Parts: sequence; structure tokens; C-alpha cells
Amino acid sequence: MIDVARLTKTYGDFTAVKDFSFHVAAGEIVGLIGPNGAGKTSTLRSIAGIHAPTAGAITIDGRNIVANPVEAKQQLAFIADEPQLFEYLTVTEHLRLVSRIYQVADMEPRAKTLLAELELTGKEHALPGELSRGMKQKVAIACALIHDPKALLFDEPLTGLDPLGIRKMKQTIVARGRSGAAIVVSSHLLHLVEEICSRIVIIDRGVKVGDGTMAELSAQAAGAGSSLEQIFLAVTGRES
Amino acid sequence: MLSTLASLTFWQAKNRIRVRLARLKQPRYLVGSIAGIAYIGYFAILRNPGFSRGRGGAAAAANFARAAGPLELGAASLLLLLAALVWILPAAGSAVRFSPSEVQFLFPAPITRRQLLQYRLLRAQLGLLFGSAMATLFMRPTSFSNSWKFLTGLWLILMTCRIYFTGVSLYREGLRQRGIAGISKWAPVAIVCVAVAIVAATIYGNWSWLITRGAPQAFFDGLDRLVSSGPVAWILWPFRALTRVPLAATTTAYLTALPGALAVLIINYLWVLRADTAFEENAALIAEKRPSENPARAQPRVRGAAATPFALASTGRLETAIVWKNLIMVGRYASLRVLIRLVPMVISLGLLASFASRRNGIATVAAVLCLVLVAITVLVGPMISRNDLRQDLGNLAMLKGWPLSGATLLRGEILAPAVMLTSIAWLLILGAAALAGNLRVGFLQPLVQDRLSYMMAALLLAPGVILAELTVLNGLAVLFPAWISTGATRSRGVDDLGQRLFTTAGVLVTLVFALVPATMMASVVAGGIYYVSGVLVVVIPSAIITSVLVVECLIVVEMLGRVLDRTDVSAVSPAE
Repeated sequence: MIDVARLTKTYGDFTAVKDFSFHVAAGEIVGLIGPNGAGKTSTLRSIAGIHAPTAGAITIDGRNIVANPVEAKQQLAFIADEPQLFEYLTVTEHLRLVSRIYQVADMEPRAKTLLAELELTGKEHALPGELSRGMKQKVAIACALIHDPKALLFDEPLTGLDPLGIRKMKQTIVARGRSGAAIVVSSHLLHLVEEICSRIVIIDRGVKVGDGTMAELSAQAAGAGSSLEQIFLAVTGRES
Repeated sequence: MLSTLASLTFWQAKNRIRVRLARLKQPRYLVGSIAGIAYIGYFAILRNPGFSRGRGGAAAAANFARAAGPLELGAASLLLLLAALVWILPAAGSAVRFSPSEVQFLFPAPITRRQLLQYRLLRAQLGLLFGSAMATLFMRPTSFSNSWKFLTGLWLILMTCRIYFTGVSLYREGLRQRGIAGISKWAPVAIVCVAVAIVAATIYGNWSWLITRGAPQAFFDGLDRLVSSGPVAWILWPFRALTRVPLAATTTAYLTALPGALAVLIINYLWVLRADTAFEENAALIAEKRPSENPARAQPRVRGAAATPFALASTGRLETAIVWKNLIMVGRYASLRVLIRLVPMVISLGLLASFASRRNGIATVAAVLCLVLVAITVLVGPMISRNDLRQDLGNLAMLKGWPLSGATLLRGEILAPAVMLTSIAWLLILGAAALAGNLRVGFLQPLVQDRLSYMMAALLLAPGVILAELTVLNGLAVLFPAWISTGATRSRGVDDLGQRLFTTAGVLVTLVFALVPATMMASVVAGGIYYVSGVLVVVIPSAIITSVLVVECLIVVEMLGRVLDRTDVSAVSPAE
């Protein structure tokens, strides 16, 4: 479903991601982890078509994000770490706008279900300025899910959410994965990644340093330990 | 502690310059800077007689000396008016603003609020000094060697104004926090109103005597004598003390004027330090309202949710969704502050109406006003109304994630202000046509006789010209995204000056180029009809011009859309 082949992304003289490849199958939840500045967000933004890749190919459901961006993005949703909302649109108007952009014919029932699922019922006519950061994040997530995307990219999805919101978010991600969506979750919360992801990709200094299930990664970092934290520190060479 | 804060100011300025210099590696910034420097060099220095040697410079010095007196008086009166308006207008006054990072690092630090206030005032000086330097270059003082007097004098005025505005803001905030209303709230307003009224009444009472004095110099000598005695002299003294410094002809005059201006500055400064009780909470509130990730991209305050311009169906053309969104934006951003900005234009039009109504009826005056407003809407409107890509550049990361092509996005972005401005222009055109029956202005007479035809022609032309102008402006946003100010703040600098020059020139030149083929085709058709029938038609050529412009815009938007598709969001650097 999501194919990243030899992705390289540079900003001027700085190389954020170098020759990075991975694949996410339908129904698979892949955790993308790495230290600060490792290239996680650059990778996700390149997959989402926000940044143009310097080299390499990215396909979503067989559609190249550079050659056929509209068709590829139709299958995709990207939830940024900072919720980006239009300050002048209410919650319902955000959903209406995004539904039109993705041509969602049955917007009303979907919006109602999502608002209830994300505990936004009663906030339909609120402007972003009237919402807390966590609620804004929920609105961004509702907008991302309204068209039932086949591929989902989450960049630090739990930031700003309360404990109940975190539990609901985890349930939402897992439910989408079970329903067949290919999901990439980028997070520093290793316990979250360990809990919900079926496979983990580790990136460091723009280069892939690990890829596999927990068991495979554990074998790869022999002697490091069995927790993802121990594996992560060993693989990225930060154990000391 | 103050030395640390001064160092912070210095580091920020140094790093800002470093960032600007680093940006010059990008050709568009380099070209912008070269254009800005060339503009300053040519118009402000080479073509400025005040900066040239010889006869031109001497003449400029003589002119400056002659004008200094009236200028001092005029500028002092303006400052008095400004000082009064700050108290009268509800949203005026310069709030003490801190960036979120300043709040995070400085507020919890062991720094007194007074030191913070001093730091903020110190930081403002760099911008004021740059503004004074640019004004000195353009306002043609006596000579290059003498311009330091003008520069420092102007800086002194701007510095005093900034401190005064801060004081007004703090005073108001103090009253608000303490829940004080009544006399304390209205006393300053009453005082400034009485002061302005005394000056105005004195001049008005002696107006007939003043206008009998004939020559302009004699008029101003009389006026100077009038305002140099009695209560008017006391009222105007602080303002004249300030304006005297930059206009001093000699070093002796400058040094004589300086103590008075410094006294005004110090009094304002001491007043602000005394009024700082409300400062800490005020500053924190102001900082809190700004987006945490990027203070430069602060959005204007949004009014509450209201009805949408039309119901948006879940399916259909994607452009309609962008138009819908951008029309909502206009409705929710319209505020009293926007209306206040229109006050100068309304006053100008009111004066025009008042002048015109002496000779013509009210309907005729209204018709002329409608025509003037049509011209403003069509020619200036696209530059003012930014509910298009220029406003949406800050959301480009989100927009790029949506499944819509650059051309589709651009069409939607351009259509929103085009629809809005065309509607306004059409209403005004219809109003002008309906009211113009009794218009008796010589050169407009043919227009009146065939006003139905001209109305139709104008109705057809307006959307074409508006669309073309909006296409150019949005095209500049696509091609030079980093040149577009996406937030409430506007960056300053030589490259920004060059960028703004490029923008204005680019719009005008491209508009002319776009009109050439359209006008040529329309002329050929109109000429043919005239040759065959002997009738000069205007409706058909107008329809042709607009059709050609629309086709041109569609082609250009398609090309710009491809550029937008390739645009990397990281190329759109946030404003400083």
C-alpha cells in the first residue's frame, strides 16, 4: 500500500533523509521511530506530498505521489504533530470542506460518528480559537478520517491528548489498521509504538538502522534487551 | 541585568542580519536586494537634490530653510492630532508585545517588569532607527553631510511616539484590570479633546485675518505668531519641541532645540515607568494570543461563527470548496479595526461629495462617488483583498496534502476575491448608472447620454480586469512565496523594499501586457463594426476584452498550477 523506495530529502546542503526504503502493507501498522532530527517528519511529509522528494519514489496504492499526486493523495491522510486548522472555520465547516475536497457523498452521518468517537459532540460550531490544543488535534484527526483513507500517516498523534483521548486514539488507530488501512505512526512514545505497531522502522541521521517486528529487532540487537527502548538505544548507538 | 537584555537585543539584530545575508544565496532575494538598493540609490540619493552638490544642493537647502517653519508647525499639529486620536480611538495605542519565546525565557527569569519594559522599548529602537534612516533618504533634507540632524531628530520623534503609545496602552490596561471607569477613563480623552478644540478654535477665530495676509509665507508667519502665545503655545510646545529638532537648519539650532525634545522624551519615559503596574499581565495576555509555534504568523482576531455564504454540497467542483472557505474568511475577519482603516478614504470621499454638492444634486454626487468607488474596487481592490493564496500560504502544508492539483487550488483561491470584488463593482456600476441621469460634467456627458451601453460595458469589463489583476498577484505568490507576508507582521529591509517594488511594478506591467492582445482584438472588432455601420459600439469590445482576459488567466493559472505542484513547502519561509 505505502511504498518508499530509496527516498532522499535534502534542504540546501543538509541531507535529512538518505536512501531510505520501507513498505507498509494494507492492514499493517508500522512505527517510525528515531532520535530528534532523525528525519521522521521529513519522511512523513514527503510521503504525504507536502515536501517534494529530492530522489527516490513514493507510491500510495500503486500511485506515485510525484507523478500522480491527486490520485495518490485521494487514498491518503496525514495527521501532523501540530494541528493545522483554519482559524475562521468552525469544526463542522472543517469537516464539510474536507468532505468536499475528498468528494465524500455521505458526509453528515460520517461526521456525526467521528465527532462522537472523538468526543467533539457539542463543539460543532466552535472556532479553533475556542478549542484546547487537544481538541484541535481531535478536529484534525476527524478531518483526516472523514474520507476513510486507505493509508494513514500519524506524526506524534498523542501530543496534547488527555489520558482518555490517548486511549481512544490508540483504539482508533488499531481499528483503522484492522479495517485494512496501511498506517505509519511516528512517535517518541516507545511504549505506544510497542503496543500498537506490528512492525517498527528505526531511522537515525536520515538512514534506516532497523526494520522488523519486535522479535526481529531484538535478534538484530542481540544482547541489548527485550524492550523497544533498549533496542532503540542499542541500534542508534546511544546506549552509553 | 539591563546589559544582558541589551546584549539579547544586539544578538537578535545581528542574527537577523545574518539570516538576511544568508538568504541572498537565493537568486530571488539577491535580485530583490539589488532592486531595493538600486531604487534607494537612484531615487533617494542620485535624483535627490538635497544630496547632490552644487546648485541643486544649495537650492534644496534654501527651500528647506524656507519650508522649515511651516513644516515644524504642520508636523506639530499632526502630532497633537495623533496624540489625541490615540486616546479617542478604541483600539489605538501600542501594546507591549512579547513573543512566546520571550515570555518563556524572560518572564520566569529574575527580571523586574520595569527591566522587561525597558528591554522592549530598547528592542523597538532598531526598527525606529531603520525607519528614520529610510525616511531621511527619501524626505530630502538639506545635504548629505547635514542629514544626521534630520535622522536623529526623526528618531527622537518616533521614539517619543512609541513610548507615548505604550503609556496610553498601559494606562488603559491598568484601568481595565482595576475595573476603573468613569472620570479616570474619560479624563484623558476630555483633556486631549479640549486641547485640540482650543487650537482649532484659535485658528478658526482668526481665519479671516490670516487669509487676508496674502502670500503663503506671510500666512504662515501670521499663523506662527498666533500659535506662539497664550494657551495654544503651551498646548503645542511639546510637539513643536520635538519637530524643531529634525528641521533645525544649523548645528547651533539643533543643539538649542535638543534639550526641549529630550525633556519631552524623558517625561514620557518616566510616565510609562510609573504606568507599568498593568504591564506584566497585559504582556502575558498579548503573548498568549499568538500561535505558539510561530509568532510571526499571528492571525487577526476572528469574529464568532456566523452563517456561511452558501451551502456547500459534499460533492462537486473542488474550486467551489476553496471559494466557500475564502468567502467565510472575509466575513469572519471583518471587524471594527478594518472599518477604522477605511476612515481616511471615507473622509476624502465625503470632502469630495461636499465640494461637488455645491454645484450638483445629491444624486449626481452619489453617482460620481459610485464611479470613484468602482475605480478603487477594480484597480486597488485586488491588492487589498487578500482572501486568496496570499493569505493561504501559511496553510500551504495542509493544502499540499489535499488531493487537488495546483491549478484547481489556484482557480479556487483567485475566484473567491474575484467574486467578492465583482459583486461590489457591479453594485456600484448599477448605482452609478441609476443615479447619473442629471450628471452635468462636461467630459462625462457622452457617458450619461448612452449610459445603458456604458453600464453594460463596465459590467462586462470589471470582472475581466479584476480577474487579471488577481491572477498576477497570486502568480507572484506562487513564484515568490517567500516574498508574501503571511501574518500580521511585515518584515523590513532593503530586500523587502525591492520585493514590494517588484510586486507593484510586476502587477502593473503584467496587467498592461495582458490587456494588449485583448484590446487589440476588441479594437479590430469595434473598428469593423464602425466601418460597416458607422456606430461606435462599446458593449461588444468590452465582452471581447473580458473574454480574452479570462482565457489568458485560465492559461496562466494552468501554468502557475504546475509550478505550485512542484513548490516545496520548505521554500515558503515564515516571516521574521
